[in-house]
Amino acid sequence: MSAPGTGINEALRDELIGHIPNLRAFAVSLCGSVDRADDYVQETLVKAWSNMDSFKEGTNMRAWLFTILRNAFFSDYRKKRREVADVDGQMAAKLASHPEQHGHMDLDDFREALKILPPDQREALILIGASGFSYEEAAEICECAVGTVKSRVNRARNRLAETLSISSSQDFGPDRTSQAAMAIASVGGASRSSGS
Amino acid sequence: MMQERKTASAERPDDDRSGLDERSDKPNLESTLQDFIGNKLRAVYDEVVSEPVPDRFAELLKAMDDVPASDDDVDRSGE
Repeated sequence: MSAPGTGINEALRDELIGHIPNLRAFAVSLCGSVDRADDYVQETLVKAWSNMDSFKEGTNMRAWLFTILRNAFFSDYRKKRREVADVDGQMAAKLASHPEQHGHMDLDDFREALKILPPDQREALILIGASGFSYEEAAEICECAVGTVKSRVNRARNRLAETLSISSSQDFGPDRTSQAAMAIASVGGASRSSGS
Repeated sequence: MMQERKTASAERPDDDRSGLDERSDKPNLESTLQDFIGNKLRAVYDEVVSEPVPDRFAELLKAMDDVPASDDDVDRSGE
């Protein structure tokens, strides 16, 4: 329904601008660095603009933009993995050397924990848990099956629980139920105190 | 310039947790854990969402506006 003539660019531009805050949040959460995130956002905007003819009007522009961004991220990630042997291992070591804190668990701890997730799990968790996409939309964005998204989200949550309980189990929550949940998650549900 | 800022929370579907309790026989504890992780995740995410759009993007989009999107034959009546 493109009206011929004027206003097309402006309308598209305004729509793009409207998506930038969410794109940035996705990129920052995905790659863990604001500077790199903004580079991905920029790359995404340029690609989107130059490929606007491949975008179907009336479909979900946000999902389309997220797809472009995650493809850029994973393309880089695969390249870097070939160059640096053990990206995840280094991240884990960095986290492990993080001085133990018994203060209030702040968001920095969570950000660090997020970083050591495998990126495909991190991506699924963000898309579902923060960006507000449905499992079906997330599956399209990641180009995988809906069941794969679900299992990645589950694994991401379990691994986060594990990581956070190691680094700051004291700070998990104000109540015992929360701590119990964390403890149970971290040992795979093996220990139980209730019942006979 | 009108800027529409969609927050993630405004679009979050209610069935956020569908399929996530399947593997667990401890739904209450599991959901407490999910709430905890979900809250932290959204806090980290929404912090960025609520930041103002960096100038570089406004400048970029302005520059891109000089290049027609998609078709080369889009008619631009001058600035």
